[in-house]
Amino acid sequence: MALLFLDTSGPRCAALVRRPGRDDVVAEEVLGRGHDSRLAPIVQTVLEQAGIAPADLARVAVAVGPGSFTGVRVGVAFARGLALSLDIPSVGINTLDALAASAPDTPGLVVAAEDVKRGEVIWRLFADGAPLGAPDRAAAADAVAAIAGMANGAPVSSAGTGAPLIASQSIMDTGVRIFDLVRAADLGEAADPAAAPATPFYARPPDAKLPGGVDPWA
Amino acid sequence: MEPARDPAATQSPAGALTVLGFETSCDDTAAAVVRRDADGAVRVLGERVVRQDAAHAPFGGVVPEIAARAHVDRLDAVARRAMADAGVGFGDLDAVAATAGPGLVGGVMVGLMTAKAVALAHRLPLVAVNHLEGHALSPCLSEKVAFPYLLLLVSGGHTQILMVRGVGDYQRLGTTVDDAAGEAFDKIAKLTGLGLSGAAVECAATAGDATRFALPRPFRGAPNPDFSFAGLKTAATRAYQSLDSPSDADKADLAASFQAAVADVLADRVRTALALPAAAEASAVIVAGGVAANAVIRAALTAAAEDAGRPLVAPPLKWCTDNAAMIALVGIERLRRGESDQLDVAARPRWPLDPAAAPALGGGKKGPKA
Repeated sequence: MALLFLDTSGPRCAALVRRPGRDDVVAEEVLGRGHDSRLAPIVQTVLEQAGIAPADLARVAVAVGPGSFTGVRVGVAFARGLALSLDIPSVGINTLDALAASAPDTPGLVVAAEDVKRGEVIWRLFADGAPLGAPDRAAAADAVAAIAGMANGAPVSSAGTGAPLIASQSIMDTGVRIFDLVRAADLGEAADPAAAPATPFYARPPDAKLPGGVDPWA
Repeated sequence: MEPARDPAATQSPAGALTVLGFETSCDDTAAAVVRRDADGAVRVLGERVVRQDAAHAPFGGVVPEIAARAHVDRLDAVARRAMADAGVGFGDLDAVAATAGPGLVGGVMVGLMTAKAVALAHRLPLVAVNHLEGHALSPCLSEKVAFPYLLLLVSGGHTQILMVRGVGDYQRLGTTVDDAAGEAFDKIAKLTGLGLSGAAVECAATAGDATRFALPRPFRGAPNPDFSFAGLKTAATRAYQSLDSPSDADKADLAASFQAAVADVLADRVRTALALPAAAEASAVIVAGGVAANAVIRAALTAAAEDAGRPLVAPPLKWCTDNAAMIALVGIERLRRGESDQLDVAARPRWPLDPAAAPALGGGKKGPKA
């Protein structure tokens, strides 16, 4: 029985198949947009390369963001459609968790940070793979201060598209910008479907104002 | 790339076709299972719809990002319930269909990706459906109407007159050059504080004097059966704003005057269309879309159709407004013609039903909207 992992949360459109005791099979394309067009053919390709049928899947895991709102929904809708029609569990993997798992093994703490535009990052700090708190969206300078406070002098290495925005004396950019599909699939394999549903994780609420310009989420 | 159909997985009765359809192009999350028997009888075996009115109401209109988020959270559960209602399993399906446009593309992608997943998982044909084609064929869910017929589609998103000559054969005779009729109704409801949707205007209008405000009838008498509602909306807005602290009676009069203007225009445009040579063979006038629920408008359209010797047919409201049964039905009809789509088919925010029709709205470099 096999695991399918999907990532459409950023420019990459990727699928990985993991079968017990065998090498993972990966198919990926780097797209600016158009994940809705390419994802299903890529999944079909990776299943064929792995020599399995859709009915051989025991679980589907998907990157739920933070990332492109539309991209994440493409992957999540597809994953949930597979889960529904194959009667298998689906799990969602947060891209920050996948990024932290993809950073090189260095002593100390790891911060995963994604650039969410408008000078802001969404970040989460990890110690030995375990998160220290929930993801937080903040102005880059505020994130740096918050991370320094939590690190309390310990070295911090960073990963993700937001890493250049928070690079500082105490935060070392590892240069990892995108999570590793194999590491993310490890998380997908271990995740509890009840605790990690395939539900999009959005970095921001919808851009919509109430009449009179009132921000409904303020 | 075409997913091969696996005949062993198909358990529809001999000659019958069973299709699961999804509709997510605006603010309704819908799934339906429809079967066409060998004798041509069409039955909706199961259908579920979850509306999002409450989520959008505070904003005074559909917010695309809110709609897309709601669709992805709900569609799988909605589909599961529709399948359970129908009493069929995924292995019993002959195809899966989804709206692929035109509409709010973030929501369209949710339905289309879910359909692709089902198609891939069960090696079923995928049918990417034009939402407008769903409306065009929707009368066939409940009525026995013969092709060709004249279709007036009047909703919050569309106002068009089409000649439906057969499946896949549509000629657009007229369309709005600005707002949709339902959009104008919604605007008046909000302006007057009567409510959030056009239904509130109809409700208030029952107590109003339709002759109190002299509102324009845009395009009435024009040779082409096109529509315009922006000027009428503006005139109604000005009339309302000229009132000093409007009373309930004032609001009722404005609602009645506005509704009468829309009814007059719709009836006039249908009369004009029926007089065109292109509509000579129309067997009936079909009205679809949420505005078709308005009794005053329906009466005006009935008169226009009957004056031209045609019956007016309005499908039940649940199939007049956005629904997944009509999408599954298009899937069945396309499948019967041996047509299906590849798994790389993309969502199309713009997708005119009659590609030969000149753009009247949104006719920029991206082409006509609908």
